[in-house]
Amino acid sequence: MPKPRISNCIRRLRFEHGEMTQAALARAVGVTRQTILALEANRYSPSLELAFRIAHVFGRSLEEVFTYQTSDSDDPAVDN
Amino acid sequence: MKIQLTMSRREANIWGSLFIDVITAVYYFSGLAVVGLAGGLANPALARVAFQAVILAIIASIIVFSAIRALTADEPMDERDYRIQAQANTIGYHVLVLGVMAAVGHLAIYSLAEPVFGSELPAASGTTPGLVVHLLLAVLIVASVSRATAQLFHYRRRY
Repeated sequence: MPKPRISNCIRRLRFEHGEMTQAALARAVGVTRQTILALEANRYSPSLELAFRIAHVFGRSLEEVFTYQTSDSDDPAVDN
Repeated sequence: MKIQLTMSRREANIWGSLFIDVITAVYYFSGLAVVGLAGGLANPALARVAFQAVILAIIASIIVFSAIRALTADEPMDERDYRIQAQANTIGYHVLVLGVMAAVGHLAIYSLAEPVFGSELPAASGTTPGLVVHLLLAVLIVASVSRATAQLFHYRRRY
């Protein structure tokens, strides 16, 4: 079974929002800077609550920030 | 002024704990190898090694954790920290249970084998209080090191 991954465009969104620093985003969503770093490197899948908080900071929907992928395909997987 | 490291104070503390665990264990068990368990737990030479190991651990803790405190900023734990801690605790727990089961199994097998084989059993496989204490101490250290290593693995590689 392919390993599911949640990728994101947090890094791009930070730069589009006045080059917001990782530390500033971390403060805004209530996590450590290392967690933002791990998220941007796709090494950590956030909880649903944290994902919503991050999307809220950027004024975007969850799907615009996070994408569900499987390791055998780069296309977003569509759940039935 | 705080130096901004790529690791949090929490991760640095785990590195520090792991370092202190390892140097203390190496110091103590290398001393134990020299002194031996012949005199039991009341052996003054063994007590001296244990005392020196405790002093080493205290001094190393003061130096290492003071340096970490001076170089890193304090941050509250977040969901990633809690998740990593929970996974590492699970691994440490399994190692601890496995080690205790192995130690208990050793004692049980020795107790059953002793009446049959007697002096044919190796001298080091006895059930003296000194051996049991050191067996359990080694299990605790291995479990602690496993827990810390699992945490660091998750911080660096997985999460």
